[in-house]
Amino acid sequence: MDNGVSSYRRFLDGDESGMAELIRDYKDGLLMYLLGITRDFHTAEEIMEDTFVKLVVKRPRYSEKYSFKTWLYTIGRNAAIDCLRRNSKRADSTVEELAESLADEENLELSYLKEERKIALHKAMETLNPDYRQVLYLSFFEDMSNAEIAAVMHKSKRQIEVLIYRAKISLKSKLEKEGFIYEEL
Amino acid sequence: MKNYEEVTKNVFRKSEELIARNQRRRNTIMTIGMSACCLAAVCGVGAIAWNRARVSTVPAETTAPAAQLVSDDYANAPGAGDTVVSENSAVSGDAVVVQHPPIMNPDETPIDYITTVSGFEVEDFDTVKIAPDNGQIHISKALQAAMDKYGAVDENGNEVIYRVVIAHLQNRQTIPATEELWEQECARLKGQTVYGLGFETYSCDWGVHSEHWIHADFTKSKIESFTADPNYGYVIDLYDNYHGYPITDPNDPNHVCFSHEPICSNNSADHENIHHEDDHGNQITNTNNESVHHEENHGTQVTNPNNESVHHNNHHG
Repeated sequence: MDNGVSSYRRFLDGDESGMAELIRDYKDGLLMYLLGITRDFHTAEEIMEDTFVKLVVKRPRYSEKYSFKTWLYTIGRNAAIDCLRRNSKRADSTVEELAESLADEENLELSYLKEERKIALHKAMETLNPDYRQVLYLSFFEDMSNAEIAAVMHKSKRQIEVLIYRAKISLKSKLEKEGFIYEEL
Repeated sequence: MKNYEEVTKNVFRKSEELIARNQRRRNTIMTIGMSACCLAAVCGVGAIAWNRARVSTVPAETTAPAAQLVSDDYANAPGAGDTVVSENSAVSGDAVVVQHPPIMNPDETPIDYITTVSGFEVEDFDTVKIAPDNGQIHISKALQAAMDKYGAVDENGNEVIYRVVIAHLQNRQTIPATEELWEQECARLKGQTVYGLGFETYSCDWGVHSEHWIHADFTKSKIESFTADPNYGYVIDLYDNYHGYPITDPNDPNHVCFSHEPICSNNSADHENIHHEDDHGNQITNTNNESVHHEENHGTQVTNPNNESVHHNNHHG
Protein backbone atom coordinates (compact mmCIF):
# COMPACT_ATOMS: atom_id res chain seq x y z
CA MET A 1 0.00 0.00 0.00
CA ASP A 2 1.52 3.37 -1.05
CA ASN A 3 -0.79 5.59 0.98
CA GLY A 4 -3.40 5.45 -1.75
CA VAL A 5 -2.13 8.34 -3.84
CA SER A 6 -0.96 6.30 -6.81
CA SER A 7 -4.12 4.18 -6.73
CA TYR A 8 -6.24 7.31 -6.81
CA ARG A 9 -4.17 8.77 -9.65
CA ARG A 10 -4.58 5.55 -11.62
CA PHE A 11 -8.31 5.75 -11.05
CA LEU A 12 -8.39 9.36 -12.27
CA ASP A 13 -6.52 8.19 -15.37
CA GLY A 14 -9.32 5.76 -16.09
CA ASP A 15 -8.18 2.59 -14.35
CA GLU A 16 -11.06 1.39 -12.18
CA SER A 17 -8.87 -1.08 -10.35
CA GLY A 18 -7.28 1.94 -8.65
CA MET A 19 -10.55 2.67 -6.87
CA ALA A 20 -11.01 -1.02 -6.04
CA GLU A 21 -7.61 -0.94 -4.35
CA LEU A 22 -8.53 2.14 -2.36
CA ILE A 23 -11.71 0.48 -1.18
CA ARG A 24 -9.80 -2.64 -0.20
CA ASP A 25 -7.17 -0.71 1.73
CA TYR A 26 -9.25 1.93 3.43
CA LYS A 27 -12.78 0.66 3.85
CA ASP A 28 -12.37 -0.95 7.28
CA GLY A 29 -10.47 1.92 8.86
CA LEU A 30 -12.87 4.48 7.46
CA LEU A 31 -15.83 2.40 8.59
CA MET A 32 -14.41 2.14 12.08
CA TYR A 33 -13.89 5.89 12.21
CA LEU A 34 -17.38 6.64 10.92
CA LEU A 35 -18.81 4.21 13.44
CA GLY A 36 -17.34 6.45 16.12
CA ILE A 37 -19.37 9.35 14.74
CA THR A 38 -22.64 7.65 13.91
CA ARG A 39 -22.69 4.86 16.52
CA ASP A 40 -24.75 2.87 14.06
CA PHE A 41 -23.04 0.21 12.02
CA HIS A 42 -25.32 0.22 9.00
CA THR A 43 -25.38 4.03 8.78
CA ALA A 44 -21.59 4.07 9.02
CA GLU A 45 -21.39 1.45 6.27
CA GLU A 46 -23.67 3.52 4.03
CA ILE A 47 -21.59 6.64 4.62
CA MET A 48 -18.40 4.72 3.96
CA GLU A 49 -19.76 3.64 0.58
CA ASP A 50 -21.00 7.15 -0.14
CA THR A 51 -17.53 8.52 0.58
CA PHE A 52 -16.06 6.34 -2.14
CA VAL A 53 -18.99 7.17 -4.41
CA LYS A 54 -18.06 10.84 -4.04
CA LEU A 55 -14.56 10.05 -5.21
CA VAL A 56 -15.89 8.16 -8.22
CA VAL A 57 -18.51 10.71 -9.25
CA LYS A 58 -16.93 14.03 -8.36
CA ARG A 59 -13.30 13.00 -8.81
CA PRO A 60 -12.06 15.68 -6.43
CA ARG A 61 -8.46 16.77 -6.68
CA TYR A 62 -6.30 15.34 -3.95
CA SER A 63 -4.40 17.94 -1.98
CA GLU A 64 -0.94 16.73 -1.11
CA LYS A 65 -0.86 18.86 2.00
CA TYR A 66 -1.92 15.85 4.04
CA SER A 67 -1.80 12.12 3.54
CA PHE A 68 -4.38 10.46 1.35
CA LYS A 69 -5.92 8.83 4.41
CA THR A 70 -6.36 12.20 6.14
CA TRP A 71 -8.02 13.57 3.03
CA LEU A 72 -10.29 10.55 2.67
CA TYR A 73 -11.32 10.64 6.33
CA THR A 74 -12.11 14.34 6.01
CA ILE A 75 -14.46 13.60 3.14
CA GLY A 76 -15.96 10.76 5.17
CA ARG A 77 -16.48 12.94 8.21
CA ASN A 78 -18.22 15.62 6.15
CA ALA A 79 -20.46 12.98 4.62
CA ALA A 80 -21.26 11.64 8.10
CA ILE A 81 -22.20 15.06 9.43
CA ASP A 82 -24.39 15.72 6.38
CA CYS A 83 -26.06 12.38 6.88
CA LEU A 84 -26.65 12.97 10.60
CA ARG A 85 -28.16 16.37 9.87
CA ARG A 86 -30.43 14.88 7.23
CA ASN A 87 -31.49 11.94 9.34
CA SER A 88 -31.81 13.60 12.70
CA LYS A 89 -35.01 11.64 13.24
CA ARG A 90 -33.95 8.16 12.43
CA ALA A 91 -36.34 5.26 12.47
CA ASP A 92 -35.94 2.82 15.34
CA SER A 93 -34.16 -0.40 14.54
CA THR A 94 -35.63 -3.78 15.27
CA VAL A 95 -34.01 -6.07 17.81
CA GLU A 96 -32.76 -8.31 15.00
CA GLU A 97 -31.18 -5.38 13.18
CA LEU A 98 -29.49 -4.23 16.38
CA ALA A 99 -28.15 -7.72 17.05
CA GLU A 100 -26.86 -7.91 13.49
CA SER A 101 -25.20 -4.50 13.86
CA LEU A 102 -23.47 -5.55 17.05
CA ALA A 103 -22.20 -8.74 15.44
CA ASP A 104 -20.95 -6.78 12.43
CA GLU A 105 -19.22 -4.32 14.70
CA GLU A 106 -17.46 -7.11 16.55
CA ASN A 107 -16.38 -8.70 13.26
CA LEU A 108 -14.98 -5.37 12.12
CA GLU A 109 -13.08 -4.91 15.37
CA LEU A 110 -11.64 -8.41 15.05
CA SER A 111 -10.63 -8.00 11.43
CA TYR A 112 -9.29 -4.46 11.63
CA LEU A 113 -7.91 -4.02 15.11
CA LYS A 114 -6.80 -7.64 15.49
CA GLU A 115 -5.13 -7.23 18.90
CA GLU A 116 -7.26 -8.00 21.93
CA ARG A 117 -5.79 -5.07 23.82
CA LYS A 118 -6.81 -2.67 21.07
CA ILE A 119 -10.29 -4.19 20.89
CA ALA A 120 -10.76 -3.69 24.64
CA LEU A 121 -9.62 -0.11 24.32
CA HIS A 122 -11.96 0.50 21.41
CA LYS A 123 -14.87 -0.90 23.37
CA ALA A 124 -14.09 1.36 26.31
CA MET A 125 -14.12 4.33 23.96
CA GLU A 126 -17.71 3.63 22.94
CA THR A 127 -19.07 5.37 26.00
CA LEU A 128 -17.13 8.58 25.39
CA ASN A 129 -18.66 11.56 23.62
CA PRO A 130 -18.31 11.61 19.79
CA ASP A 131 -15.47 14.15 19.66
CA TYR A 132 -13.44 12.20 22.21
CA ARG A 133 -14.05 8.95 20.35
CA GLN A 134 -12.96 10.49 17.08
CA VAL A 135 -9.71 12.02 18.31
CA LEU A 136 -8.71 8.93 20.23
CA TYR A 137 -9.53 6.65 17.32
CA LEU A 138 -7.53 8.73 14.86
CA SER A 139 -4.66 9.06 17.30
CA PHE A 140 -4.47 5.52 18.70
CA PHE A 141 -5.64 3.38 15.83
CA GLU A 142 -4.82 5.39 12.73
CA ASP A 143 -1.58 6.90 14.09
CA MET A 144 -2.45 10.31 12.74
CA SER A 145 -0.54 13.36 13.93
CA ASN A 146 -2.35 16.17 15.70
CA ALA A 147 -2.13 18.26 12.54
CA GLU A 148 -3.75 15.48 10.51
CA ILE A 149 -6.49 14.97 13.09
CA ALA A 150 -7.09 18.71 13.09
CA ALA A 151 -7.52 18.61 9.31
CA VAL A 152 -9.96 15.70 9.47
CA MET A 153 -12.05 17.19 12.26
CA HIS A 154 -11.93 20.81 11.05
CA LYS A 155 -10.45 22.00 14.29
CA SER A 156 -7.27 23.82 15.17
CA LYS A 157 -4.23 21.89 16.33
CA ARG A 158 -4.63 23.52 19.67
CA GLN A 159 -8.19 22.30 20.00
CA ILE A 160 -7.06 18.80 19.13
CA GLU A 161 -4.38 18.89 21.81
CA VAL A 162 -6.98 19.89 24.36
CA LEU A 163 -9.46 17.33 23.10
CA ILE A 164 -6.92 14.51 23.27
CA TYR A 165 -5.86 15.56 26.73
CA ARG A 166 -9.42 15.53 27.98
CA ALA A 167 -10.39 12.41 26.12
CA LYS A 168 -7.49 10.54 27.66
CA ILE A 169 -8.47 11.65 31.15
CA SER A 170 -12.06 10.63 30.51
CA LEU A 171 -11.05 7.27 29.06
CA LYS A 172 -8.57 6.60 31.81
CA SER A 173 -11.16 7.16 34.48
CA LYS A 174 -13.58 4.86 32.69
CA LEU A 175 -10.94 2.16 32.34
CA GLU A 176 -9.90 2.50 35.97
CA LYS A 177 -13.47 2.12 37.10
CA GLU A 178 -13.56 -1.17 35.25
CA GLY A 179 -10.23 -2.24 36.71
CA PHE A 180 -8.05 -1.78 33.62
CA ILE A 181 -4.75 0.01 33.40
CA TYR A 182 -3.60 1.25 30.02
CA GLU A 183 -0.04 2.48 30.20
CA GLU A 184 -0.30 4.67 27.09
CA LEU A 185 -2.89 6.94 28.68
CA MET B 1 -20.76 -6.92 7.29
CA LYS B 2 -20.10 -6.39 3.60
CA ASN B 3 -16.84 -7.69 2.23
CA TYR B 4 -14.53 -5.80 -0.06
CA GLU B 5 -16.02 -7.12 -3.30
CA GLU B 6 -19.55 -6.22 -2.24
CA VAL B 7 -18.54 -2.71 -1.23
CA THR B 8 -16.66 -2.17 -4.50
CA LYS B 9 -19.66 -3.41 -6.48
CA ASN B 10 -21.99 -1.15 -4.50
CA VAL B 11 -19.75 1.87 -4.93
CA PHE B 12 -19.59 1.49 -8.69
CA ARG B 13 -23.32 0.73 -8.97
CA LYS B 14 -24.26 3.78 -6.86
CA SER B 15 -21.83 5.94 -8.82
CA GLU B 16 -23.31 4.88 -12.14
CA GLU B 17 -26.82 5.60 -10.84
CA LEU B 18 -25.75 8.98 -9.57
CA ILE B 19 -23.98 9.89 -12.78
CA ALA B 20 -27.03 8.82 -14.80
CA ARG B 21 -29.32 10.84 -12.53
CA ASN B 22 -27.09 13.88 -12.81
CA GLN B 23 -27.05 13.49 -16.58
CA ARG B 24 -30.86 13.33 -16.67
CA ARG B 25 -31.04 16.45 -14.51
CA ARG B 26 -28.58 18.23 -16.75
CA ASN B 27 -30.60 17.26 -19.82
CA THR B 28 -33.80 18.51 -18.21
CA ILE B 29 -32.18 21.80 -17.29
CA MET B 30 -30.75 22.13 -20.80
CA THR B 31 -34.17 21.44 -22.32
CA ILE B 32 -35.86 23.99 -20.07
CA GLY B 33 -33.10 26.50 -20.71
CA MET B 34 -33.25 26.07 -24.45
CA SER B 35 -37.04 26.34 -24.41
CA ALA B 36 -36.77 29.54 -22.42
CA CYS B 37 -34.18 30.89 -24.85
CA CYS B 38 -36.38 30.00 -27.80
CA LEU B 39 -39.36 31.64 -26.16
CA ALA B 40 -37.33 34.75 -25.39
CA ALA B 41 -36.05 34.85 -28.97
CA VAL B 42 -39.59 34.51 -30.34
CA CYS B 43 -40.78 37.28 -28.01
CA GLY B 44 -37.86 39.48 -29.05
CA VAL B 45 -38.53 38.97 -32.73
CA GLY B 46 -42.22 39.62 -32.11
CA ALA B 47 -41.46 42.85 -30.23
CA ILE B 48 -39.17 44.09 -33.01
CA ALA B 49 -41.74 43.25 -35.63
CA TRP B 50 -44.43 45.02 -33.63
CA ASN B 51 -42.26 48.11 -33.18
CA ARG B 52 -41.50 48.21 -36.90
CA ALA B 53 -45.20 47.88 -37.63
CA ARG B 54 -45.85 50.82 -35.28
CA VAL B 55 -43.14 52.93 -36.94
CA SER B 56 -44.55 52.20 -40.35
CA THR B 57 -47.95 53.63 -39.24
CA VAL B 58 -46.36 56.97 -38.22
CA PRO B 59 -46.58 59.64 -40.94
CA ALA B 60 -43.42 59.86 -43.00
CA GLU B 61 -42.58 63.43 -41.93
CA THR B 62 -42.36 62.47 -38.27
CA THR B 63 -40.28 59.34 -38.55
CA ALA B 64 -36.91 60.82 -37.68
CA PRO B 65 -35.62 59.71 -35.29
CA ALA B 66 -37.99 56.77 -35.41
CA ALA B 67 -37.34 55.16 -32.04
CA GLN B 68 -37.67 58.43 -30.16
CA LEU B 69 -40.86 59.23 -31.98
CA VAL B 70 -42.39 55.91 -31.22
CA SER B 71 -41.59 56.28 -27.58
CA ASP B 72 -42.79 59.85 -27.23
CA ASP B 73 -45.72 59.26 -29.45
CA TYR B 74 -46.74 56.23 -27.49
CA ALA B 75 -46.45 57.87 -24.09
CA ASN B 76 -48.28 61.00 -25.19
CA ALA B 77 -50.82 59.29 -27.36
CA PRO B 78 -54.39 60.09 -26.50
CA GLY B 79 -55.69 57.39 -24.19
CA ALA B 80 -52.24 56.17 -23.22
CA GLY B 81 -52.75 55.29 -19.58
CA ASP B 82 -50.51 54.95 -16.55
CA THR B 83 -50.04 51.30 -17.20
CA VAL B 84 -48.43 51.93 -20.53
CA VAL B 85 -46.23 54.64 -19.10
CA SER B 86 -45.07 52.47 -16.25
CA GLU B 87 -44.30 49.57 -18.57
CA ASN B 88 -42.46 51.92 -20.84
CA SER B 89 -40.52 53.30 -17.87
CA ALA B 90 -38.79 50.05 -17.12
CA VAL B 91 -35.56 51.48 -18.51
CA SER B 92 -35.85 54.70 -16.57
CA GLY B 93 -36.72 52.58 -13.48
CA ASP B 94 -33.18 51.21 -13.55
CA ALA B 95 -31.87 54.74 -13.61
CA VAL B 96 -33.98 55.61 -10.59
CA VAL B 97 -32.54 52.67 -8.72
CA VAL B 98 -29.04 53.83 -9.59
CA GLN B 99 -29.88 57.31 -8.43
CA HIS B 100 -31.32 56.04 -5.15
CA PRO B 101 -29.44 57.32 -2.17
CA PRO B 102 -27.37 54.57 -0.52
CA ILE B 103 -29.04 52.65 2.26
CA MET B 104 -29.13 54.86 5.29
CA ASN B 105 -29.63 54.44 8.97
CA PRO B 106 -33.19 55.09 10.14
CA ASP B 107 -32.11 58.57 11.23
CA GLU B 108 -30.83 59.27 7.67
CA THR B 109 -27.17 59.29 8.74
CA PRO B 110 -24.78 57.34 6.49
CA ILE B 111 -23.88 53.87 7.66
CA ASP B 112 -20.45 53.47 9.19
CA TYR B 113 -18.57 50.24 9.18
CA ILE B 114 -17.14 49.07 12.44
CA THR B 115 -14.41 46.51 12.72
CA THR B 116 -14.99 43.64 15.09
CA VAL B 117 -12.09 41.36 15.91
CA SER B 118 -13.14 38.00 17.27
CA GLY B 119 -10.17 35.79 16.47
CA PHE B 120 -6.45 36.16 16.09
CA GLU B 121 -3.84 33.53 15.39
CA VAL B 122 -0.52 33.88 17.17
CA GLU B 123 2.27 31.35 16.99
CA ASP B 124 2.93 31.15 20.69
CA PHE B 125 -0.49 30.20 21.98
CA ASP B 126 -0.97 30.06 25.67
CA THR B 127 -2.87 26.81 25.49
CA VAL B 128 -2.30 26.38 29.17
CA LYS B 129 -2.97 29.60 30.97
CA ILE B 130 -2.06 30.68 34.42
CA ALA B 131 -5.09 30.67 36.63
CA PRO B 132 -5.66 34.18 38.00
CA ASP B 133 -6.38 34.72 41.66
CA ASN B 134 -9.67 36.20 42.78
CA GLY B 135 -9.80 39.83 41.74
CA GLN B 136 -7.19 39.31 39.02
CA ILE B 137 -7.58 39.36 35.25
CA HIS B 138 -5.65 37.34 32.69
CA ILE B 139 -5.77 38.62 29.11
CA SER B 140 -4.85 35.99 26.53
CA LYS B 141 -1.80 36.46 24.31
CA ALA B 142 -3.99 36.32 21.23
CA LEU B 143 -6.24 39.09 22.50
CA GLN B 144 -3.24 41.17 23.50
CA ALA B 145 -1.65 40.61 20.08
CA ALA B 146 -4.91 41.54 18.34
CA MET B 147 -5.17 44.72 20.38
CA ASP B 148 -1.58 45.56 19.56
CA LYS B 149 -2.27 45.12 15.86
CA TYR B 150 -5.71 46.67 15.49
CA GLY B 151 -5.45 49.22 18.26
CA ALA B 152 -8.32 51.27 19.53
CA VAL B 153 -9.62 52.94 16.38
CA ASP B 154 -10.02 51.65 12.82
CA GLU B 155 -9.37 53.47 9.54
CA ASN B 156 -12.89 54.94 9.61
CA GLY B 157 -12.25 56.52 12.95
CA ASN B 158 -14.56 54.08 14.74
CA GLU B 159 -13.53 52.26 17.86
CA VAL B 160 -12.49 48.69 17.09
CA ILE B 161 -14.68 46.14 18.82
CA TYR B 162 -13.09 43.06 20.35
CA ARG B 163 -15.51 40.18 20.75
CA VAL B 164 -14.35 38.26 23.79
CA VAL B 165 -15.30 35.35 26.00
CA ILE B 166 -15.04 35.87 29.73
CA ALA B 167 -14.22 32.82 31.84
CA HIS B 168 -14.76 33.07 35.56
CA LEU B 169 -12.65 31.37 38.21
CA GLN B 170 -12.98 31.21 41.95
CA ASN B 171 -9.94 30.37 44.05
CA ARG B 172 -8.16 29.49 40.77
CA GLN B 173 -10.83 26.95 39.90
CA THR B 174 -13.01 27.57 36.89
CA ILE B 175 -16.67 27.84 37.60
CA PRO B 176 -19.36 27.10 35.05
CA ALA B 177 -20.99 29.99 33.24
CA THR B 178 -24.55 30.01 34.51
CA GLU B 179 -27.40 32.31 33.73
CA GLU B 180 -27.28 33.61 37.30
CA LEU B 181 -23.61 34.47 36.97
CA TRP B 182 -24.30 36.16 33.67
CA GLU B 183 -27.11 38.25 35.17
CA GLN B 184 -24.91 39.16 38.09
CA GLU B 185 -22.09 40.21 35.76
CA CYS B 186 -24.55 42.06 33.51
CA ALA B 187 -25.55 44.20 36.43
CA ARG B 188 -21.96 44.77 37.49
CA LEU B 189 -20.50 45.34 34.01
CA LYS B 190 -23.37 47.35 32.64
CA GLY B 191 -21.30 50.50 32.40
CA GLN B 192 -18.35 48.65 30.90
CA THR B 193 -19.98 46.98 27.94
CA VAL B 194 -20.19 48.68 24.62
CA TYR B 195 -22.62 46.61 22.66
CA GLY B 196 -23.64 43.99 25.13
CA LEU B 197 -22.82 41.08 27.30
CA GLY B 198 -24.00 37.79 25.88
CA PHE B 199 -24.89 34.46 27.34
CA GLU B 200 -24.92 31.54 24.96
CA THR B 201 -26.18 28.04 25.36
CA TYR B 202 -24.76 25.50 22.98
CA SER B 203 -26.23 22.16 22.26
CA CYS B 204 -23.30 19.81 21.85
CA ASP B 205 -22.92 16.32 20.49
CA TRP B 206 -26.24 16.51 18.77
CA GLY B 207 -28.13 17.47 21.88
CA VAL B 208 -26.47 15.10 24.33
CA HIS B 209 -25.37 17.97 26.55
CA SER B 210 -25.10 21.73 26.53
CA GLU B 211 -22.63 24.29 27.72
CA HIS B 212 -22.58 28.02 28.29
CA TRP B 213 -20.35 30.92 27.52
CA ILE B 214 -20.40 34.50 28.66
CA HIS B 215 -19.11 36.85 25.99
CA ALA B 216 -18.93 40.56 25.43
CA ASP B 217 -18.07 43.22 22.88
CA PHE B 218 -15.44 45.50 24.30
CA THR B 219 -13.33 48.34 23.02
CA LYS B 220 -9.60 48.26 23.72
CA SER B 221 -9.89 50.82 26.46
CA LYS B 222 -12.70 48.86 28.11
CA ILE B 223 -10.57 45.73 28.14
CA GLU B 224 -7.63 47.59 29.58
CA SER B 225 -9.75 49.20 32.23
CA PHE B 226 -11.81 46.10 32.98
CA THR B 227 -12.35 45.81 36.70
CA ALA B 228 -12.62 42.46 38.37
CA ASP B 229 -15.13 41.44 40.95
CA PRO B 230 -12.98 40.61 43.98
CA ASN B 231 -14.78 37.29 44.27
CA TYR B 232 -13.68 36.07 40.85
CA GLY B 233 -10.58 35.62 38.76
CA TYR B 234 -11.07 36.32 35.04
CA VAL B 235 -9.63 34.96 31.82
CA ILE B 236 -10.50 37.11 28.82
CA ASP B 237 -9.88 35.70 25.37
CA LEU B 238 -11.06 36.35 21.84
CA TYR B 239 -14.37 34.73 21.01
CA ASP B 240 -13.14 32.56 18.16
CA ASN B 241 -9.94 31.63 19.97
CA TYR B 242 -11.69 30.44 23.07
CA HIS B 243 -12.17 26.70 23.11
CA GLY B 244 -11.99 25.89 26.74
CA TYR B 245 -8.28 25.76 27.41
CA PRO B 246 -6.99 23.97 30.44
CA ILE B 247 -5.96 26.49 33.05
CA THR B 248 -3.16 25.65 35.45
CA ASP B 249 -2.76 26.66 39.03
CA PRO B 250 0.81 27.98 39.37
CA ASN B 251 0.96 26.80 42.98
CA ASP B 252 0.18 23.26 42.03
CA PRO B 253 1.88 22.23 38.78
CA ASN B 254 0.15 18.87 38.82
CA HIS B 255 -3.24 20.39 39.03
CA VAL B 256 -5.13 21.38 35.94
CA CYS B 257 -8.59 22.81 35.98
CA PHE B 258 -10.70 23.31 32.92
CA SER B 259 -12.34 26.45 31.80
CA HIS B 260 -15.36 24.44 30.86
CA GLU B 261 -16.25 20.84 30.30
CA PRO B 262 -16.98 19.21 27.96
CA ILE B 263 -15.45 20.90 24.96
CA CYS B 264 -17.62 21.90 22.06
CA SER B 265 -16.70 23.76 18.93
CA ASN B 266 -18.66 25.99 16.62
CA ASN B 267 -18.46 23.75 13.60
CA SER B 268 -19.69 20.61 15.28
CA ALA B 269 -22.33 22.03 17.52
CA ASP B 270 -25.72 23.45 16.82
CA HIS B 271 -26.36 26.56 18.80
CA GLU B 272 -29.62 26.10 20.54
CA ASN B 273 -30.52 29.41 22.09
CA ILE B 274 -28.43 32.46 21.90
CA HIS B 275 -29.29 35.40 24.06
CA HIS B 276 -27.70 38.70 23.46
CA GLU B 277 -28.32 41.85 25.34
CA ASP B 278 -27.99 45.06 23.44
CA ASP B 279 -26.68 48.32 24.78
CA HIS B 280 -30.12 49.30 25.94
CA GLY B 281 -30.47 46.20 28.03
CA ASN B 282 -32.95 44.61 25.64
CA GLN B 283 -32.45 40.94 25.13
CA ILE B 284 -32.30 39.65 21.60
CA THR B 285 -32.89 35.95 21.22
CA ASN B 286 -31.87 34.01 18.20
CA THR B 287 -32.39 30.32 17.68
CA ASN B 288 -30.49 27.72 15.74
CA ASN B 289 -28.03 30.07 14.19
CA GLU B 290 -24.38 29.26 14.00
CA SER B 291 -23.08 32.73 13.31
CA VAL B 292 -25.58 34.81 15.18
CA HIS B 293 -23.15 37.35 16.49
CA HIS B 294 -22.12 38.21 12.97
CA GLU B 295 -25.54 38.23 11.35
CA GLU B 296 -27.05 40.24 14.12
CA ASN B 297 -24.88 43.09 12.99
CA HIS B 298 -25.25 42.24 9.30
CA GLY B 299 -21.54 41.61 9.23
CA THR B 300 -19.41 39.89 6.67
CA GLN B 301 -16.41 37.97 7.79
CA VAL B 302 -13.09 38.82 6.28
CA THR B 303 -10.30 36.38 6.84
CA ASN B 304 -6.84 37.65 6.28
CA PRO B 305 -3.73 35.56 5.50
CA ASN B 306 -2.93 35.30 9.19
CA ASN B 307 -6.18 33.45 9.66
CA GLU B 308 -7.59 36.11 11.88
CA SER B 309 -11.30 36.62 12.11
CA VAL B 310 -12.11 40.21 11.49
CA HIS B 311 -15.67 41.34 10.99
CA HIS B 312 -16.70 44.49 9.27
CA ASN B 313 -20.16 45.16 10.49
CA ASN B 314 -22.73 47.70 9.58
CA HIS B 315 -23.15 49.93 12.52
CA HIS B 316 -26.58 51.49 12.58
CA GLY B 317 -25.75 54.85 13.93
